[in-house]
Amino acid sequence: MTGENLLNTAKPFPVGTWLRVGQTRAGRFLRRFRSRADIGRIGRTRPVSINFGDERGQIVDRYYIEKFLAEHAADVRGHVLEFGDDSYTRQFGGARATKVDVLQVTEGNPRATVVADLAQGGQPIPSDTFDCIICTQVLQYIYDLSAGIRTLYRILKPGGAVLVTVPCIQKIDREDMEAYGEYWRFTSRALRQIFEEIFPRDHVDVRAYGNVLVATAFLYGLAVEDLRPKDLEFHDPDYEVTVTLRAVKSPALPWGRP
Amino acid sequence: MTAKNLLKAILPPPARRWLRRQPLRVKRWLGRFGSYGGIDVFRRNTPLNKDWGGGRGQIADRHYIEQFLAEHAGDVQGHVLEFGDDSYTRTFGGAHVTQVDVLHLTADNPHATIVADLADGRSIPSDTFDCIICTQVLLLVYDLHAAIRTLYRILKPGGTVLVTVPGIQKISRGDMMKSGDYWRFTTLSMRRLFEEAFPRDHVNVKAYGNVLAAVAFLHGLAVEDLQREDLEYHDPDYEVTITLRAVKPKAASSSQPSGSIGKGTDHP
Repeated sequence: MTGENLLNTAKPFPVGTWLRVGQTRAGRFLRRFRSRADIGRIGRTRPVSINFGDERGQIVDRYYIEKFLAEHAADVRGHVLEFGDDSYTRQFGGARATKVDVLQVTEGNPRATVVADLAQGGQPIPSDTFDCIICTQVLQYIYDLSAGIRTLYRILKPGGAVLVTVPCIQKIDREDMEAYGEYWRFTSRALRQIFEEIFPRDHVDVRAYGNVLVATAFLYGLAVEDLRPKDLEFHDPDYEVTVTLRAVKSPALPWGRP
Repeated sequence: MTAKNLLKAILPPPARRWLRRQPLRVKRWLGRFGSYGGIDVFRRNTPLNKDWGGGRGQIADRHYIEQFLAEHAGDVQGHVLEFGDDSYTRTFGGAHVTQVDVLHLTADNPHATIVADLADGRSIPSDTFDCIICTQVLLLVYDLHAAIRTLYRILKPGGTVLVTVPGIQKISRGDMMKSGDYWRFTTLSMRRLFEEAFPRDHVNVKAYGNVLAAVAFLHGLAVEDLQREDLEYHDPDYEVTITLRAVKPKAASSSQPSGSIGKGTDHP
């Protein structure tokens, strides 16, 4: 006879009830120890780095962004538009990029050649201007996404390509939050749908990168150098850390489409 | 003696300094032989728990959602609308609730008394509810502006909507397969979206969470896996759950929303 059975026969009824309630409470208490062993000694509520791991090495999402751009390096040609600076155009376009413009939404960036707001129609940029637009980690700062993407479509040359990356699992970028306002995190489905409203459906390609380990490392502020290549290359569709999109403006269609 | 201590004892100081500079990868490799605290969760590229943590105890974000609803339990009264089922209405409204409706997007939910799409919502009459409990719903709605317009319209003047959305969360696979899983929010986007329909001073937004809560939630750990203080520390850079309470003004008419919707005019 087990101790539990013995108790069941010997104890009066209210004690049994009290014990049962106690069991769930004790179970929860005990589970705490078992489970904390499972998560090891991770128990820190402060990140390792507050700069996305910049001081430790390459920022984790850059690995995916640059992988995506390397894959589509052939698109980076002719007249190219980039945001903030022209580093990706130089790195991936090289001699193919014959002319580069750098867009900044506010005055004060010495590298900027164009000051324009995508959400306000992107004036004064003329329509059908760029062969390629490199738009990495920009859209999360634009509240009116449809307006922003309509502008991207308008300023692309027919046949031109826009290369987009956005975050899905990411902490707030405090500096940019204060400067521009940080609004959105996108799933691959959301990014596809907002672009398909403006670009032709079969001209939009979306992909997601990441897994729970990469998400964890990125949130804590670890760097690419802290991870193994095979961890970065494993993609779990439930953990979208970085979402990429390539869309082409149809050569047959006039820019005025939606 | 752990491997780490052993190395400390036998290596000359320059070698120790070199080792300290090596990335975590090397330390992790060394950690196999002894213990390097704090990196176990950085070893595995699959979640500790495939589920959301429900099998282990309370799902981590529920802790924040229920804390928020408990704080505003006074709003849960009269005619209440909830999504999926009426469990939060019963828990937090109790006897103050006179009538409950349960909304579901599709007709396959036996709890549902209303089958409607929030982004359309024409089938729901205006000025109907004293309270709407809208937890973890908006991430699944593509047209957010339309959905929030509907929430405003179907609230009675003076009625309250209690909203929660995720800021950091894995994909909800079941929903993704059906109606779609679209958005993660920030406090700023939530405030701006609701201020388009509700008056500015009738909207309150708050964020809950920190990096540990975020990672635990991603891994599918439960509230019981964490210490209370781990959940109660709020780091503004890690918005795991965002809550919002908005009130429709007493004098409002449902056909005249106070803001202009869908025009992001003051973006930087």
